[in-house]
Amino acid sequence: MDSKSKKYEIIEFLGEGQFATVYKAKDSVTGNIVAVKKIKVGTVEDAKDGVNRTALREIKLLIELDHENIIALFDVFGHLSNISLVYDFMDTDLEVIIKDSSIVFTQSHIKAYTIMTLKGLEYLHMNWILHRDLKPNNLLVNKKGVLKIADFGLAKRFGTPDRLHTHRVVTRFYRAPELLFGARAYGPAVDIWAVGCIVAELLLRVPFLPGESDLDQLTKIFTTLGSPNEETWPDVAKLSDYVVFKKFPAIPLREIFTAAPNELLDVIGGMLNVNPLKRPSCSEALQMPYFSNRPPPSLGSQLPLPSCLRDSNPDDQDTKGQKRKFTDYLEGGTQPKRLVFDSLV
Amino acid sequence: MGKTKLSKVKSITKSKNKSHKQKVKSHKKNKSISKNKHRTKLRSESQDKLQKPEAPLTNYLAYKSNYIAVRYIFECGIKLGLKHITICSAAVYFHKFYENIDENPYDNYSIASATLYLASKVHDETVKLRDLINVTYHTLHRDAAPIRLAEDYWNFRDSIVHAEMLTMRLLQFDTTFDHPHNYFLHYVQTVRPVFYSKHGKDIIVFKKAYDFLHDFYHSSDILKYKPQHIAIACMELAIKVYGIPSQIIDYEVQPWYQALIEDLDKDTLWNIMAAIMDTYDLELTTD
Repeated sequence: MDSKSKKYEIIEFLGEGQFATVYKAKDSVTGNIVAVKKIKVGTVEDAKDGVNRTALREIKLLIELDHENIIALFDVFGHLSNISLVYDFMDTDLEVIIKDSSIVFTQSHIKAYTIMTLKGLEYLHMNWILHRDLKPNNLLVNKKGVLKIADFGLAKRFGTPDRLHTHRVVTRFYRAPELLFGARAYGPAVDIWAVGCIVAELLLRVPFLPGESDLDQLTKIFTTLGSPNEETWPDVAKLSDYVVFKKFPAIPLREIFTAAPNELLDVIGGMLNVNPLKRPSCSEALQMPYFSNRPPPSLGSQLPLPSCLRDSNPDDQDTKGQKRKFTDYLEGGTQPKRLVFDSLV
Repeated sequence: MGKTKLSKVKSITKSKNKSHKQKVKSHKKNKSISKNKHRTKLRSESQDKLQKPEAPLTNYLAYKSNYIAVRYIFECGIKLGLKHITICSAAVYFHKFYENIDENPYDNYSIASATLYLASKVHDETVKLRDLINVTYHTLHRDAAPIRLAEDYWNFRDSIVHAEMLTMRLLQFDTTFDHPHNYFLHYVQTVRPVFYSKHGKDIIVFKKAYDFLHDFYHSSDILKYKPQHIAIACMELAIKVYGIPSQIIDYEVQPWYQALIEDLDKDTLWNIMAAIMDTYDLELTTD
């Protein structure tokens, strides 16, 4: 099996993060370009804990999944005490595209990205998997304009009624209010909330609810969308970390997203309902009129590419100077990225 | 006075399982009997023996067989408080490991410990490596002193981590397995109304079927058959052992399991049932 590490010729170094190093590589048999994520061993605490749990989760789940909008895991190989994961090579991610000020999004672009995200997520939820870390940075996009959901390091199976989950998941800006209130028995609605935030971010081009702390995140949510009460969200007070908020009225979405069509506001409003039970499922969301109305979503080839990728010939795979982040391993950002394995009772 | 004490015990153990309660109860009763009627010591001793289920502790170091190693997985897994499905996954990894190697230069029990550790990770039932080492070590060396945080411990730790990685590679990183449990419980749920017996015979039959299922994990044949078929075979074997609990079912007309799955023929079913029964012979051949 060691021969596999020779099967892939490293082309270039893409980035390094807390847990992994990512390389762009070429499969010497098929000639395909792939991304190889080499899990680091020897970080101080994990030093001798054996196989990396995050990698294990990712392998376990991705091995069973096969969908156009989910990152494909081609291969896994071990070399000495290292594990490497081989994925589809993706050129960029949605965060880079959103932040690239030279790109102008049309309604069709936004619709296309939203549909691809929802289709991937629908497939995940149909397979009883929660992603639990959706954010633009984890939505990878290739040159053909196909969006794929990546990073399953926090993903988990759901559906067993007595199985509790930890609420310390999802990057803060995209974290649903029930998680912030300490819910342990949540469901696909947490992913839907994140998608709602991402769609809003596509419109605003900056994070929609950039909280500075967990409490600030809740404040931002409620000052924007209105604070919950027994009527809008029954039993909210029973959540373990519930805090009473001042009564804020909801700001009409029309005032925040001035350029968005009404149907899109319905989609955002539904997904960003503070009551998780009232958020639509992926399939329900995809049935909303916005997705079937004009204008139609852009074809992949019409979707914008960040400036660093734009001028190169699509066949020229050795594009230099592209600064991309590969999943959140490389982020090392402000949010606590690691699942805390506290004892789930 | 004994009675008030008893009720106290009862209330404390309310949340605990019934068998424990009963044990406490019968134990107390026993004592009072032997006191009152002055039974001979010999007699009460033999009675005590009857109370305890006979489960001699296995001296694992005396054996080197996969059958005993799976028993070791089950014992350690139960001590660590893991769920059935996690322990069963560990047993599956163990069988897959040995399916993929020709000769056996590896220590059975190290591999068994590593599969247990891997399974706990896969099923999100995190066990601390330290706990695992303590449990596995003391199951092997039952009367040994606690393992000190010294060289031996670190070597132990290294060997488990290495064995885990080796297991992963031999599994080709595929830790998923379709357990018969996934089907078994649904089948039981479905046929329960048909098999209903007012004397609780159906419960006994299903319980025995579940026992068969778990015992079958001791055999590497668990990998050979479809999980649906194994689930049915366990139920059918239990029915064959106890007799069918329901009058409604008539094999002449149609075997009951054909209502649940289509692709199971009689030969396959009998083969699996024979494999399950053969599992019980494995123990005899290990001495």
